[in-house]
Amino acid sequence: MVRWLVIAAHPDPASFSAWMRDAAIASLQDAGAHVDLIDLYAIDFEPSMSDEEHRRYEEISADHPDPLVRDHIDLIARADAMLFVFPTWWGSMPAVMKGWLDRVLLPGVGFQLNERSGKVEPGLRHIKYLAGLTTYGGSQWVQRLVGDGGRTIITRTLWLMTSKRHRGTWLALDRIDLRKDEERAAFVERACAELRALT
Amino acid sequence: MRSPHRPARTLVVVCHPRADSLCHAASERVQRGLRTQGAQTRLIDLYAEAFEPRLSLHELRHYGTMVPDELAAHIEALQWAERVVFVHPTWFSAQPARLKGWFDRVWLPGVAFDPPPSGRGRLRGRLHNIRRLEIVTTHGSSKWVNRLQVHSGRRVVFRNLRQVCHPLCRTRFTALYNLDRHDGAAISAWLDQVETRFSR
Repeated sequence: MVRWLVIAAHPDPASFSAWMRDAAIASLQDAGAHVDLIDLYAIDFEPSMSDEEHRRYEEISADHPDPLVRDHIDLIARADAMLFVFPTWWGSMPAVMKGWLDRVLLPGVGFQLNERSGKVEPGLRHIKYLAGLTTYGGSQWVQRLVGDGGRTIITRTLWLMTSKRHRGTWLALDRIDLRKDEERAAFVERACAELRALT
Repeated sequence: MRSPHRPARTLVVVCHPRADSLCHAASERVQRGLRTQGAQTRLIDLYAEAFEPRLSLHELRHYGTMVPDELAAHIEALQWAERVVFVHPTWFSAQPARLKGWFDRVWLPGVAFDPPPSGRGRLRGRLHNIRRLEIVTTHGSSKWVNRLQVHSGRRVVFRNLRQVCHPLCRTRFTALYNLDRHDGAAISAWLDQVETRFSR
Protein backbone atom coordinates (compact mmCIF):
# COMPACT_ATOMS: atom_id res chain seq x y z
CA MET A 1 0.00 0.00 0.00
CA VAL A 2 1.34 3.38 -0.99
CA ARG A 3 1.01 6.19 1.56
CA TRP A 4 0.43 9.51 -0.17
CA LEU A 5 0.92 12.88 1.45
CA VAL A 6 -1.13 15.53 -0.37
CA ILE A 7 -0.13 19.16 0.17
CA ALA A 8 -2.70 21.62 -1.16
CA ALA A 9 -2.94 25.42 -1.31
CA HIS A 10 -5.94 27.39 -2.52
CA PRO A 11 -7.78 30.06 -0.51
CA ASP A 12 -11.20 29.06 -1.87
CA PRO A 13 -12.66 25.73 -0.65
CA ALA A 14 -15.07 25.89 -3.62
CA SER A 15 -12.32 26.37 -6.23
CA PHE A 16 -11.52 24.07 -9.13
CA SER A 17 -8.17 23.43 -7.44
CA ALA A 18 -9.99 22.12 -4.35
CA TRP A 19 -12.19 19.95 -6.55
CA MET A 20 -9.10 18.50 -8.29
CA ARG A 21 -7.55 17.82 -4.89
CA ASP A 22 -10.63 15.99 -3.59
CA ALA A 23 -10.99 13.98 -6.80
CA ALA A 24 -7.33 12.96 -6.65
CA ILE A 25 -7.63 11.89 -3.01
CA ALA A 26 -10.80 9.85 -3.64
CA SER A 27 -9.23 8.22 -6.64
CA LEU A 28 -6.05 7.26 -4.77
CA GLN A 29 -8.10 5.88 -1.88
CA ASP A 30 -10.21 3.80 -4.32
CA ALA A 31 -6.99 2.34 -5.65
CA GLY A 32 -6.12 1.22 -2.11
CA ALA A 33 -3.70 3.96 -1.14
CA HIS A 34 -3.61 5.64 2.24
CA VAL A 35 -3.85 9.44 1.93
CA ASP A 36 -2.94 12.17 4.40
CA LEU A 37 -3.90 15.75 3.51
CA ILE A 38 -2.26 19.02 4.49
CA ASP A 39 -4.60 21.81 3.38
CA LEU A 40 -2.41 24.86 3.98
CA TYR A 41 -5.10 27.55 3.84
CA ALA A 42 -7.54 25.54 5.97
CA ILE A 43 -5.01 25.10 8.77
CA ASP A 44 -3.80 28.71 8.47
CA PHE A 45 -0.22 27.62 7.92
CA GLU A 46 2.35 30.36 8.61
CA PRO A 47 4.55 30.66 5.49
CA SER A 48 7.32 32.95 6.75
CA MET A 49 10.41 31.47 8.34
CA SER A 50 11.03 33.29 11.61
CA ASP A 51 14.23 34.79 12.97
CA GLU A 52 14.53 31.92 15.48
CA GLU A 53 13.90 29.30 12.80
CA HIS A 54 16.64 30.79 10.68
CA ARG A 55 19.06 31.09 13.60
CA ARG A 56 18.53 27.43 14.59
CA TYR A 57 18.05 26.17 11.03
CA GLU A 58 20.60 23.34 11.17
CA GLU A 59 19.15 21.60 14.22
CA ILE A 60 15.62 22.95 14.73
CA SER A 61 13.88 19.92 13.14
CA ALA A 62 14.69 17.85 16.26
CA ASP A 63 12.47 20.00 18.54
CA HIS A 64 10.58 22.45 16.36
CA PRO A 65 8.62 25.10 18.32
CA ASP A 66 5.64 24.98 15.92
CA PRO A 67 3.44 21.87 16.56
CA LEU A 68 2.11 22.01 12.98
CA VAL A 69 5.63 21.73 11.61
CA ARG A 70 6.33 18.81 13.98
CA ASP A 71 3.19 17.02 12.75
CA HIS A 72 4.14 17.62 9.13
CA ILE A 73 7.64 16.25 9.70
CA ASP A 74 6.01 13.04 11.04
CA LEU A 75 3.65 12.84 8.06
CA ILE A 76 6.58 13.17 5.64
CA ALA A 77 8.48 10.41 7.45
CA ARG A 78 5.52 8.04 7.04
CA ALA A 79 4.85 8.86 3.39
CA ASP A 80 6.00 7.00 0.26
CA ALA A 81 4.70 9.58 -2.18
CA MET A 82 3.95 13.31 -2.26
CA LEU A 83 1.40 15.22 -4.34
CA PHE A 84 1.32 19.03 -4.50
CA VAL A 85 -1.96 20.65 -5.63
CA PHE A 86 -2.02 24.40 -6.27
CA PRO A 87 -2.91 27.16 -8.75
CA THR A 88 0.05 28.69 -10.60
CA TRP A 89 0.44 32.37 -9.70
CA TRP A 90 3.18 34.45 -11.31
CA GLY A 91 4.71 31.31 -12.77
CA SER A 92 5.06 29.45 -9.48
CA MET A 93 3.29 28.12 -6.41
CA PRO A 94 1.32 30.34 -3.98
CA ALA A 95 3.43 31.83 -1.18
CA VAL A 96 1.92 29.59 1.48
CA MET A 97 3.14 26.48 -0.32
CA LYS A 98 6.59 27.95 -0.91
CA GLY A 99 6.63 28.70 2.82
CA TRP A 100 5.78 25.10 3.61
CA LEU A 101 8.90 24.00 1.73
CA ASP A 102 10.98 26.72 3.42
CA ARG A 103 9.84 25.87 6.96
CA VAL A 104 9.25 22.09 6.91
CA LEU A 105 11.83 20.56 4.54
CA LEU A 106 14.60 21.36 7.01
CA PRO A 107 18.03 19.85 7.39
CA GLY A 108 17.30 16.40 8.84
CA VAL A 109 13.96 16.29 6.99
CA GLY A 110 14.34 17.29 3.33
CA PHE A 111 18.10 16.97 3.17
CA GLN A 112 21.24 16.47 5.24
CA LEU A 113 24.52 18.23 5.14
CA ASN A 114 27.37 15.75 5.04
CA GLU A 115 29.89 17.19 7.50
CA ARG A 116 32.87 15.49 5.89
CA SER A 117 32.26 16.24 2.23
CA GLY A 118 30.37 19.49 2.88
CA LYS A 119 27.79 18.31 0.33
CA VAL A 120 24.03 18.33 0.56
CA GLU A 121 22.49 14.85 0.56
CA PRO A 122 18.88 13.91 -0.16
CA GLY A 123 16.65 13.45 2.89
CA LEU A 124 13.54 12.18 1.08
CA ARG A 125 14.99 8.92 -0.23
CA HIS A 126 11.91 7.07 1.04
CA ILE A 127 9.70 9.13 -1.29
CA LYS A 128 9.15 7.02 -4.39
CA TYR A 129 6.73 9.22 -6.28
CA LEU A 130 6.54 12.97 -6.54
CA ALA A 131 3.68 14.66 -8.38
CA GLY A 132 2.27 18.13 -9.03
CA LEU A 133 -1.29 19.01 -10.04
CA THR A 134 -1.87 22.61 -11.11
CA THR A 135 -3.74 25.12 -13.27
CA TYR A 136 -2.34 27.89 -15.45
CA GLY A 137 -4.13 31.10 -16.43
CA GLY A 138 -2.36 31.26 -19.80
CA SER A 139 -1.52 28.61 -22.35
CA GLN A 140 0.97 25.87 -21.57
CA TRP A 141 3.26 27.30 -24.29
CA VAL A 142 3.39 30.69 -22.65
CA GLN A 143 4.00 28.93 -19.35
CA ARG A 144 6.96 27.04 -20.83
CA LEU A 145 8.36 30.32 -22.15
CA VAL A 146 8.09 32.03 -18.80
CA GLY A 147 9.85 29.17 -17.08
CA ASP A 148 7.20 27.01 -15.42
CA GLY A 149 8.63 27.72 -11.97
CA GLY A 150 6.20 25.57 -9.98
CA ARG A 151 7.07 22.61 -12.14
CA THR A 152 10.83 23.03 -11.82
CA ILE A 153 10.68 23.37 -8.02
CA ILE A 154 8.84 20.04 -7.82
CA THR A 155 10.31 18.01 -10.66
CA ARG A 156 13.89 19.22 -10.23
CA THR A 157 14.68 20.85 -6.88
CA LEU A 158 12.53 18.53 -4.71
CA TRP A 159 13.00 15.53 -6.97
CA LEU A 160 16.76 15.66 -6.34
CA MET A 161 15.98 15.04 -2.63
CA THR A 162 14.00 11.85 -3.31
CA SER A 163 14.96 8.30 -4.31
CA LYS A 164 15.10 9.47 -7.96
CA ARG A 165 13.91 6.04 -9.11
CA HIS A 166 10.87 7.49 -10.85
CA ARG A 167 10.51 10.75 -12.70
CA GLY A 168 8.28 13.41 -11.23
CA THR A 169 4.71 13.49 -12.59
CA TRP A 170 3.47 16.88 -13.74
CA LEU A 171 -0.25 17.36 -14.42
CA ALA A 172 -1.40 20.81 -15.54
CA LEU A 173 -4.55 22.25 -17.05
CA ASP A 174 -3.79 25.45 -18.93
CA ARG A 175 -6.04 28.42 -19.89
CA ILE A 176 -8.17 27.55 -16.89
CA ASP A 177 -10.58 30.50 -17.23
CA LEU A 178 -11.54 29.48 -20.78
CA ARG A 179 -12.17 25.80 -20.05
CA LYS A 180 -15.64 24.36 -20.26
CA ASP A 181 -16.88 22.06 -17.51
CA GLU A 182 -16.47 18.98 -19.73
CA GLU A 183 -12.83 19.87 -20.44
CA ARG A 184 -12.15 20.37 -16.74
CA ALA A 185 -13.77 17.07 -15.86
CA ALA A 186 -11.85 15.26 -18.61
CA PHE A 187 -8.60 16.68 -17.30
CA VAL A 188 -9.34 15.63 -13.73
CA GLU A 189 -10.21 12.12 -14.91
CA ARG A 190 -6.96 11.86 -16.86
CA ALA A 191 -4.92 13.23 -13.95
CA CYS A 192 -6.52 10.79 -11.51
CA ALA A 193 -5.76 7.88 -13.84
CA GLU A 194 -2.10 8.91 -13.99
CA LEU A 195 -1.90 9.14 -10.21
CA ARG A 196 -3.64 5.79 -9.72
CA ALA A 197 -1.05 4.21 -12.02
CA LEU A 198 1.55 5.11 -9.37
CA THR A 199 -0.31 3.32 -6.59
CA MET B 1 25.86 64.35 -16.08
CA ARG B 2 23.62 61.37 -15.77
CA SER B 3 22.48 59.82 -19.03
CA PRO B 4 18.74 60.36 -19.55
CA HIS B 5 17.99 56.63 -19.76
CA ARG B 6 19.62 55.61 -16.54
CA PRO B 7 16.84 54.55 -14.16
CA ALA B 8 16.90 56.97 -11.27
CA ARG B 9 13.99 56.07 -9.03
CA THR B 10 14.83 52.74 -7.44
CA LEU B 11 12.73 50.57 -5.21
CA VAL B 12 14.73 48.09 -3.13
CA VAL B 13 12.74 45.16 -1.71
CA VAL B 14 14.60 43.14 0.89
CA CYS B 15 13.37 39.89 2.40
CA HIS B 16 15.27 38.01 5.11
CA PRO B 17 14.06 36.92 8.57
CA ARG B 18 17.13 38.29 10.33
CA ALA B 19 17.83 42.00 10.55
CA ASP B 20 21.55 41.20 10.93
CA SER B 21 21.59 39.08 7.74
CA LEU B 22 23.97 39.35 4.84
CA CYS B 23 20.97 40.25 2.67
CA HIS B 24 20.26 43.28 4.84
CA ALA B 25 23.91 44.30 4.58
CA ALA B 26 23.72 43.84 0.80
CA SER B 27 20.56 45.94 0.55
CA GLU B 28 22.34 48.75 2.46
CA ARG B 29 25.24 48.58 0.01
CA VAL B 30 22.88 48.55 -2.99
CA GLN B 31 21.24 51.73 -1.69
CA ARG B 32 24.55 53.37 -0.90
CA GLY B 33 25.84 52.56 -4.40
CA LEU B 34 22.69 53.93 -6.00
CA ARG B 35 22.87 57.16 -4.01
CA THR B 36 26.46 57.83 -5.12
CA GLN B 37 25.19 57.93 -8.69
CA GLY B 38 22.42 60.31 -7.67
CA ALA B 39 19.51 57.87 -7.77
CA GLN B 40 16.54 58.22 -5.44
CA THR B 41 15.88 55.10 -3.42
CA ARG B 42 12.99 53.67 -1.45
CA LEU B 43 13.16 50.58 0.70
CA ILE B 44 10.55 47.96 1.47
CA ASP B 45 11.75 45.58 4.18
CA LEU B 46 9.16 42.79 4.16
CA TYR B 47 10.17 41.25 7.51
CA ALA B 48 10.48 44.62 9.25
CA GLU B 49 6.88 45.40 8.36
CA ALA B 50 5.68 41.81 8.98
CA PHE B 51 4.22 41.59 5.49
CA GLU B 52 1.45 38.97 5.17
CA PRO B 53 2.28 36.75 2.16
CA ARG B 54 -0.98 34.79 1.86
CA LEU B 55 -3.45 36.01 -0.74
CA SER B 56 -6.73 35.74 1.17
CA LEU B 57 -10.09 34.41 -0.01
CA HIS B 58 -11.45 37.96 0.29
CA GLU B 59 -8.66 39.28 -1.95
CA LEU B 60 -9.22 36.46 -4.44
CA ARG B 61 -12.97 37.16 -4.62
CA HIS B 62 -12.19 40.82 -5.39
CA TYR B 63 -9.12 40.12 -7.52
CA GLY B 64 -8.78 43.06 -9.89
CA THR B 65 -11.63 45.09 -8.41
CA MET B 66 -10.28 46.02 -4.99
CA VAL B 67 -6.96 47.03 -3.47
CA PRO B 68 -6.58 46.32 0.25
CA ASP B 69 -5.72 49.49 2.19
CA GLU B 70 -2.57 48.02 3.67
CA LEU B 71 -1.19 47.52 0.14
CA ALA B 72 -1.71 51.09 -1.09
CA ALA B 73 1.82 52.24 -0.20
CA HIS B 74 3.33 49.16 -1.88
CA ILE B 75 1.38 49.83 -5.07
CA GLU B 76 2.33 53.49 -5.06
CA ALA B 77 6.02 52.51 -4.76
CA LEU B 78 5.65 50.04 -7.62
CA GLN B 79 4.12 52.70 -9.86
CA TRP B 80 6.83 55.21 -8.85
CA ALA B 81 9.86 52.99 -9.55
CA GLU B 82 11.96 52.96 -12.69
CA ARG B 83 14.06 50.17 -11.29
CA VAL B 84 13.22 47.43 -8.79
CA VAL B 85 15.95 45.51 -6.96
CA PHE B 86 15.05 42.36 -5.00
CA VAL B 87 17.51 41.31 -2.30
CA HIS B 88 16.86 37.86 -0.79
CA PRO B 89 18.33 34.47 0.03
CA THR B 90 17.54 31.65 -2.42
CA TRP B 91 15.67 28.81 -0.74
CA PHE B 92 14.56 25.80 -2.77
CA SER B 93 15.66 27.57 -5.96
CA ALA B 94 13.38 30.54 -5.33
CA GLN B 95 12.47 33.56 -3.23
CA PRO B 96 11.41 33.10 0.42
CA ALA B 97 7.64 32.70 0.76
CA ARG B 98 7.20 36.22 2.08
CA LEU B 99 8.59 37.73 -1.13
CA LYS B 100 6.61 35.35 -3.36
CA GLY B 101 3.54 36.54 -1.49
CA TRP B 102 4.45 40.15 -2.29
CA PHE B 103 4.18 39.24 -5.99
CA ASP B 104 0.92 37.35 -5.41
CA ARG B 105 -0.75 40.16 -3.46
CA VAL B 106 0.71 43.43 -4.83
CA TRP B 107 1.21 42.77 -8.57
CA LEU B 108 -2.55 42.87 -9.14
CA PRO B 109 -4.80 43.20 -12.18
CA GLY B 110 -5.54 46.88 -12.72
CA VAL B 111 -2.21 47.72 -11.05
CA ALA B 112 0.47 45.58 -12.68
CA PHE B 113 -1.46 44.32 -15.71
CA ASP B 114 -4.78 43.99 -17.48
CA PRO B 115 -5.95 40.52 -18.39
CA PRO B 116 -6.11 39.88 -22.16
CA PRO B 117 -9.49 41.14 -23.47
CA SER B 118 -10.98 37.81 -24.57
CA GLY B 119 -9.09 35.81 -21.99
CA ARG B 120 -6.65 34.74 -24.73
CA GLY B 121 -3.09 35.80 -25.31
CA ARG B 122 -0.66 37.44 -22.96
CA LEU B 123 -1.15 39.87 -20.11
CA ARG B 124 -1.07 43.58 -21.00
CA GLY B 125 1.44 45.29 -18.78
CA ARG B 126 0.67 48.41 -16.77
CA LEU B 127 4.10 48.91 -15.21
CA HIS B 128 5.88 50.42 -18.21
CA ASN B 129 7.55 52.77 -15.71
CA ILE B 130 9.82 49.84 -14.69
CA ARG B 131 12.80 49.69 -17.05
CA ARG B 132 15.06 47.52 -14.99
CA LEU B 133 14.57 44.46 -12.75
CA GLU B 134 17.42 43.19 -10.62
CA ILE B 135 18.05 40.35 -8.22
CA VAL B 136 20.76 40.28 -5.57
CA THR B 137 20.78 36.90 -3.87
CA THR B 138 22.74 34.48 -1.73
CA HIS B 139 22.84 30.70 -2.27
CA GLY B 140 23.90 27.94 0.09
CA SER B 141 24.83 25.70 -2.83
CA SER B 142 27.15 26.03 -5.79
CA LYS B 143 26.48 27.66 -9.13
CA TRP B 144 26.43 24.20 -10.78
CA VAL B 145 23.85 22.76 -8.45
CA ASN B 146 21.73 25.82 -9.16
CA ARG B 147 22.05 25.34 -12.91
CA LEU B 148 20.94 21.73 -12.56
CA GLN B 149 17.92 22.57 -10.45
CA VAL B 150 16.91 25.59 -12.57
CA HIS B 151 16.59 28.86 -10.71
CA SER B 152 12.82 29.04 -10.72
CA GLY B 153 12.77 32.24 -8.65
CA ARG B 154 14.87 34.03 -11.24
CA ARG B 155 12.38 33.00 -13.91
CA VAL B 156 9.47 34.30 -11.84
CA VAL B 157 11.01 37.78 -11.86
CA PHE B 158 12.89 37.95 -15.18
CA ARG B 159 10.23 36.23 -17.25
CA ASN B 160 6.88 36.49 -15.45
CA LEU B 161 7.02 39.89 -13.74
CA ARG B 162 9.05 41.31 -16.62
CA GLN B 163 6.12 40.68 -19.01
CA VAL B 164 4.19 43.56 -17.43
CA CYS B 165 7.10 46.03 -17.20
CA HIS B 166 8.52 48.26 -19.97
CA PRO B 167 8.94 46.24 -23.19
CA LEU B 168 12.68 46.96 -23.17
CA CYS B 169 13.07 46.31 -19.45
CA ARG B 170 16.58 45.06 -18.69
CA THR B 171 17.52 42.48 -16.07
CA ARG B 172 20.63 41.83 -14.02
CA PHE B 173 21.44 39.01 -11.60
CA THR B 174 24.01 39.32 -8.84
CA ALA B 175 24.66 36.24 -6.70
CA LEU B 176 26.93 34.91 -4.01
CA TYR B 177 27.16 31.10 -4.20
CA ASN B 178 28.41 28.59 -1.60
CA LEU B 179 27.50 31.03 1.15
CA ASP B 180 28.71 28.88 4.05
CA ARG B 181 32.16 28.34 2.58
CA HIS B 182 33.15 31.99 2.54
CA ASP B 183 35.09 33.67 5.32
CA GLY B 184 34.53 37.21 6.55
CA ALA B 185 37.03 38.69 4.09
CA ALA B 186 35.39 37.04 1.08
CA ILE B 187 31.97 38.24 2.19
CA SER B 188 33.09 41.81 2.70
CA ALA B 189 34.77 41.72 -0.73
CA TRP B 190 31.47 40.60 -2.22
CA LEU B 191 29.61 43.42 -0.47
CA ASP B 192 32.13 45.91 -1.91
CA GLN B 193 31.49 44.45 -5.35
CA VAL B 194 27.74 44.85 -4.89
CA GLU B 195 28.14 48.51 -3.96
CA THR B 196 30.41 49.14 -6.94
CA ARG B 197 27.98 47.44 -9.32
CA PHE B 198 25.17 49.71 -8.18
CA SER B 199 27.22 52.91 -8.13
CA ARG B 200 27.92 52.89 -11.87
